[in-house]
Amino acid sequence: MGQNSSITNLFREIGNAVTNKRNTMQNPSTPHLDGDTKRIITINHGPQQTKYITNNISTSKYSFISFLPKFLFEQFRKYSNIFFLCIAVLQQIPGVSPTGRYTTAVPLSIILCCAAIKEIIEDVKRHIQDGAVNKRRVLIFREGSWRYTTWRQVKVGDIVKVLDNEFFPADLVLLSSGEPNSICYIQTSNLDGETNLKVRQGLPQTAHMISSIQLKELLGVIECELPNRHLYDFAGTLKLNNVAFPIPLGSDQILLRGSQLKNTAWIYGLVIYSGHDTKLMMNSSSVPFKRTNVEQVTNSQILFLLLILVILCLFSTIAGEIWNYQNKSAHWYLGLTRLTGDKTANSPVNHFGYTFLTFFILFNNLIPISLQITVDLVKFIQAYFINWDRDMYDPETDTPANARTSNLNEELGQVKYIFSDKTGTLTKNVMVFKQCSILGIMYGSGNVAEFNSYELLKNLEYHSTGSQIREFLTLLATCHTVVPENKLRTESLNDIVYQASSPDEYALVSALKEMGVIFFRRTPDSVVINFRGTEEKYEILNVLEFSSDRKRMSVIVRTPNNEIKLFCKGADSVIMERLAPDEPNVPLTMEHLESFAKDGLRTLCLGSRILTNEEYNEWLIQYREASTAINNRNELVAEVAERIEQNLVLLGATGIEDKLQDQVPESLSMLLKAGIKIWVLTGDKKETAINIGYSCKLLSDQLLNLTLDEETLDDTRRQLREHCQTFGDSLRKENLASLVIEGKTLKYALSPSCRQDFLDLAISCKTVICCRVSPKQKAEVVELVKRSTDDITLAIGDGANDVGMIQTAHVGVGIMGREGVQAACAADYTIGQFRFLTKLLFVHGVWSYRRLCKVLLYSFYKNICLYVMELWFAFHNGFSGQILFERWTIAIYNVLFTAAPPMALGLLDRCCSAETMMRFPAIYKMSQNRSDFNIKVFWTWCLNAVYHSIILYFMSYAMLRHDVAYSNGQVGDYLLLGNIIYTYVIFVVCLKAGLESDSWTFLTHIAIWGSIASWFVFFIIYSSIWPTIPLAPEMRGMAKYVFSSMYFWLGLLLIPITALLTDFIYNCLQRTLYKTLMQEVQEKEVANQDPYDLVMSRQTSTVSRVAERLALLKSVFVRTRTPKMSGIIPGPYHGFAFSQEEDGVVPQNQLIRNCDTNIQKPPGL
Amino acid sequence: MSNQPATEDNHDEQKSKKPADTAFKQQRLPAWQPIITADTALPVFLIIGLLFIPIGIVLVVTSERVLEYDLDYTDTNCISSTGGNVTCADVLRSNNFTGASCNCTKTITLEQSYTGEVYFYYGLINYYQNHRRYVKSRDDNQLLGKAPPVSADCQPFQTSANGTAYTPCGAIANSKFNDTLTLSFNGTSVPLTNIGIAWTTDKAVKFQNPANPTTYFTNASRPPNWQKTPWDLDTSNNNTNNGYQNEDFIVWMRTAAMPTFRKLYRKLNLTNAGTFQNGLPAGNYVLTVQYNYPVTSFSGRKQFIISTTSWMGGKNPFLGWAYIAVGIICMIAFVIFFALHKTWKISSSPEISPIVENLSEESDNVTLLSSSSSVLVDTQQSNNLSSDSIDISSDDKSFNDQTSVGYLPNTDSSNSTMVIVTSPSFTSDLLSEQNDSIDQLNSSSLSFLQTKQRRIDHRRNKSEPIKSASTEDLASSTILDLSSNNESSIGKKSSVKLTPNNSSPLTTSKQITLEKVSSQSSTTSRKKKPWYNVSIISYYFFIG
Repeated sequence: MGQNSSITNLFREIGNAVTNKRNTMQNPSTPHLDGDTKRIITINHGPQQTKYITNNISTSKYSFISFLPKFLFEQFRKYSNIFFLCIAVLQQIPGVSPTGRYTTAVPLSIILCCAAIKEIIEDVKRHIQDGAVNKRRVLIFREGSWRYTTWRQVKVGDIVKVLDNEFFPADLVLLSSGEPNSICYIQTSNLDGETNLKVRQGLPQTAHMISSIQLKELLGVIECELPNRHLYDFAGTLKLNNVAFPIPLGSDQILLRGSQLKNTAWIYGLVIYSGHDTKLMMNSSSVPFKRTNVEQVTNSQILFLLLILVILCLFSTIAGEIWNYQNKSAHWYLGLTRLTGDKTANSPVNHFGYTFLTFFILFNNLIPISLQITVDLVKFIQAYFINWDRDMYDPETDTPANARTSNLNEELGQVKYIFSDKTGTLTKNVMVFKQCSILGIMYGSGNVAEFNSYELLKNLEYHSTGSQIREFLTLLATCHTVVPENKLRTESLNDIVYQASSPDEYALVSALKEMGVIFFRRTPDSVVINFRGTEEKYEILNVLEFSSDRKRMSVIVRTPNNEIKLFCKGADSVIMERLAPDEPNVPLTMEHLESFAKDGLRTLCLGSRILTNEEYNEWLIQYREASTAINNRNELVAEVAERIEQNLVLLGATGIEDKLQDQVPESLSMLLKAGIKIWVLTGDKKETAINIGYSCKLLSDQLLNLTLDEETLDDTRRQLREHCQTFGDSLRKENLASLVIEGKTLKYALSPSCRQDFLDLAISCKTVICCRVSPKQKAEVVELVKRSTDDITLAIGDGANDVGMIQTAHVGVGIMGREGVQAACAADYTIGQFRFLTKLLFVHGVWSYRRLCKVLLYSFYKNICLYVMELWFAFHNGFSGQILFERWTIAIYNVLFTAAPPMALGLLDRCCSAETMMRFPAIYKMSQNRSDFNIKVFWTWCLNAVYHSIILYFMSYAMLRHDVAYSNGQVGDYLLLGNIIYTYVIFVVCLKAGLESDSWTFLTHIAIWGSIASWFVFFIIYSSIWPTIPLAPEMRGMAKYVFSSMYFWLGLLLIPITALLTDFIYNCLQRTLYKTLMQEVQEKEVANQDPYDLVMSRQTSTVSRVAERLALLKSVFVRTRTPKMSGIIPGPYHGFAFSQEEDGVVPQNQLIRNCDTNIQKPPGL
Repeated sequence: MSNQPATEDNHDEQKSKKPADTAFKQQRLPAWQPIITADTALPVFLIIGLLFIPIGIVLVVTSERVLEYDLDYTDTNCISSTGGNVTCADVLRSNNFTGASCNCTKTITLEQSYTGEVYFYYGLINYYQNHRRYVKSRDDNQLLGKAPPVSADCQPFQTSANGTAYTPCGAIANSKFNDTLTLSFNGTSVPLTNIGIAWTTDKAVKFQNPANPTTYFTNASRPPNWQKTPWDLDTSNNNTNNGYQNEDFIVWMRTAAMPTFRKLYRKLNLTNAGTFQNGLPAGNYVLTVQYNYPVTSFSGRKQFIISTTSWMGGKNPFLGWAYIAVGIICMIAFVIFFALHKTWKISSSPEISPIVENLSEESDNVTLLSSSSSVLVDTQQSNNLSSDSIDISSDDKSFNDQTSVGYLPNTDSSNSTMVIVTSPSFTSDLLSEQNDSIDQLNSSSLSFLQTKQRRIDHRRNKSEPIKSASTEDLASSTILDLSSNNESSIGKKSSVKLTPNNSSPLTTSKQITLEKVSSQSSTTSRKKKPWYNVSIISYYFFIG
């Protein structure tokens, strides 16, 4: 979030963007009985006239009663479930099903039960979470007395007391607070992601109510608008019985649920919206459903498979009909003629349809019934692996990573573009004073974490520049909008804490405090500082506010010596312009500024000027005139301020470090190495953005740095064209280039006529920084890239302004913990720190992707392998639809015998260790290219399955062709063959899972061998239950006979091995001749060697190629640079950046004037 | 998903949310990682090949030992004994298959004597016992001896015209094979038995006669194609082989898998065998067929088969040959992979001799500074260099023991990476001998290198992947400080040294030439071994 720019506008825009997005998704509000357009709340008057919803919130999906219908509805929205439901229904037609009546219904219900359990687990978690929130305690004033109650019992019209650092239980109207003028500070980071405190002010008419007696006397009515989702708008009126006229209420008086009271001892608030009517709840929405690339491919392949299924059925039906036509009467023993001639009387047309259905039921399992649930479960547990990862746990904020949706796990492995927010994501939004330059002498060092003041203080005392140093420090101590506070109410100056809406100023004032220059008291017209022991009072005569146009802030003070001084701090560009001529220290200071900038520090220049009384008075008249002007007041004030801010004496410059989140530069460089392009989209100004670009090492002198800062559409278009042409052949390729683009220019660049050029240019660059972008633009940029490339995009952010892009991108990641949760609520994954992104992508993403691909492919494989055998058998049984296996054994094929291996593949498979994957981001490129799952791979697997089934079926057939399977001369039957083949299938399919497994943990062993064993156990039990249990008469004695046949055992050794031999040879050849990088790395790892050289050798060639191209490009760019062209960041970069809330609820000037640290605050009983 | 701000939750919960550190949750379960390459697959192929071929041979021999005699008696081999030189098939056809019977005899000559158990089968060809309508047309409850009603599955042979259920019902039972085949040898009939031809479980469990079989079977209607009631199937054995429990019936009820199938008809009764005590002697036999079963309408064939069995079962050479074939395929694969493996290894063998030579010249370079002054790819490069050196630690246990590796990770501000590789013995050598006795160091490092060389050769023979041995050698006696920030003169010198190797006119920066050299040198060996690049580079640095 950027305090620096016009935040209010920014967030209004978000509000609108969010609203527009969600209006369609949610009803605007609950209708009220009277259908009124406003809500009327009586104060202290017993129960409300209208019944409002309770403050109980529920984010759960199901309730006890609604579970079953809702769940079934959800489930049968999935195509596969509908498909199998249809099959189950079709099986009920008598005489049609070759597999009995319930052989689809039972597995389907088992699968639905699994899904139900999963849903219940998820929902119970939500219920528990809701319960915890609903049971929080709050102090409410009801019926004339204070009492503790739970949040859920808070009602509209209640008066609540909220203490410091507590959250507001509902949307409140601020009545009074523990601060003067009923001001209170709130932190709205949960709502909009902004960390700087916002000021809210109660109405003067209610400000006096600081005790329960007074509250009791508060009688009246509040009229306000109906609940809505607009965070920044509120309109209402307060009609008090003792006040004649209605008092308007605005958003200044509103304290929203989700925000937190800060630095204010207590407040009284009146509940106006409760529970789901609160703006927080109305703005929170469920995660939008995102479909992954793999899913799309799968779906299209399922459809294709369905087509094949229909073709197979048609073919079989026709073949069956032909066979019937030719052989019906001849094969007298079948009794077919009798059947049709008999009472059943099937007409031929009907018969055809029935036969078709028979085959449809027979072959339906070519589409794996368990695919959906297997994939769901695998993803669900994969998500848990993400949640469980200790490496992604942030101890500072006690937040583990959290996968809020589990269906995007594999997308994490394919990310090609990362769109990142800046503040809170890359930076901590903590500023630290690092270095300064005073009269050409540099203090502090870029390498040390904190500013070391020893040198400076020594020079203050003994050096010739001592007086200037003093002036420098005084300026910093007086020229700001910071408010001091002594929380402990002690005399000690060390207990002073500062409230600042500008983090830069906070950093400066805090640093001064460390140096013994303590700003400790602010009254409406003065600032008192303790300058290393001596108390000095500076009278604030005027404050010339900071604005992003002026790029500077000044105060005019009367010093203790009765001098009038102008203190000014601002951007180097503006200060240098306003210096007195022949200022000697300019070149040195500029040099220092450059060095600060190179370290990524934010710089400010300081200047001062002594004013004479006459000069000041003359100017003051002009100023007063301007500041009371009715039209164009701001412009006039700025103009007048301009007049006095002249002929400044350059005091020096400061360097403030905008602290990056931990390991951000390292993480970014890893991401870049992984071939991911990084776009930083920030609402900050260009200066700040570039500054961060440098400190994150996204920008550097080694890159070709391009900037686009054009004012008009035509210029933008021309500039884009030129750049694109200069890139020439390298366009849309990997280049060592970066692009910085202004928000305004971006607007033009996104217009249809420029869009393509912009895109071409942007994707030719490794990094793109977009500054001053609105949330909507962020989403647009993401949308542009998403639409026009096939690549997976990831958006990461922490604030509400990132919600749009997080929802737009394929994968949205929210940073949680420090800042708000608005982004986290919209995100698919939340992590505590930016640096965890690398593990999320490189390890979990790649693993999930590879595993899921294997699960999908394997699921199709195993089903095709078994069920296509029915087709081969159909050739042998006259296309009658007879199944080769017993009906229940095939029905539970998917839910029992082959259920575990895909789970093992999906959860335990691991090609390389997490450490290796983290060390070599290059490995990530493998999954980025979608090499593991595409149409080719899919059909290869399918053909492989067909091949296996051919081997299994025909070899077994040949083996038992003579029927005599026993040394005692006895013969088998069709089911003996069927069960033998089935056993082989189980072996082949389970071992195939093993062959595809890169690593066998003990669980993998259990899954594979256990599955095989489960078949044997099942087989033995199942073939001995008839007639005790009237089931499966044809299976009776099968196990005994299968196991007593030597053919079976000899075939068991031969046939599965033969089937898998080709796979084995293929794997072996591939491993020997066309090793993938991943495999090589894995080999090294297994051999306990370091794979570094390997990875590097694969990279060097591309690196040198890119480097060469860059050199060429640079020369071309330098050559073709026209004077006007802003191609490359011009000149040395000085790093000016400054954050200040502009156009806030309370203006900077007023904030200073309002504040009085001398006034005792009310206790609020 | 939760809409509730998590910070609110944090507020309440004091318990840390730090995930538990279990191997499963952290996905660190110990795992066996099979890697199928030429190396590892070779023994597999060999074992399969060596195992399968003998098994196959045994099986083929076993199968060949099984004696089998087939007679297709469908038509020409069964001329009606009532005269007229018509086949029994024609007799049946002319009678419109209405239960007519026909007798024929046929002389069979067995070339060999069939010793041991001898089994007699009837075989049917083009007979679809596996047709869906046929397979399901039975009622297993009825076969347990339960009273009607019978299942609708038996359609169209569920109930007779008078409404009583067929016993047994269904198409399978209805079409029971009813030819009678008897064999005589020199006038004496061969003693045959049909006891023990059915599956024991079937006879014991699945097929049960009702409590009062006589009335049960006589009151019910027999299947339309049957000439006798079930209770008249075999009256000889105290009714233990009669009714539903008749083994011929039971055998028939196990529907065959393929349209060509055989079923066990009789076996040689060895208990009172006499001449047939040891099986069937060679000679002429007369087969008498009571030909009842019509198959010509659907071009079916009927066979009479005499067969012995092996320990496996009937004659079937397929499995044996399949074993042999798969075994041979494995052996071929073995040979191919062996060749592949050999050629692959040789082509990727390293060339390290220049380093050995030059090292002896280069004696007092203990600390080495390399500079990549160009900024383009230096990070890449320095990383490359440094971590190549790190490889050493993981390579060889014996070497590892005396080697310590220090690795200072990149700091934020600089790209420099320092790698310190020390081998205690050699560094102490260096420290003591550096000043006075350079020659000694030479010899020591040289001898070390020579042993290293030997080890490499040894490895090559063992066809193991070869590791960055030469870097080890370098590193073991040197400290490398690869600093990219440092504008050292050595770096400049090194680039001067490099230029002769550089053939490209595109010398935009020194670093690129470096890259070029390394990529050129790496292409000389087919299998890229990056340590080799490094060794070349460091070799030049040594000279510098």
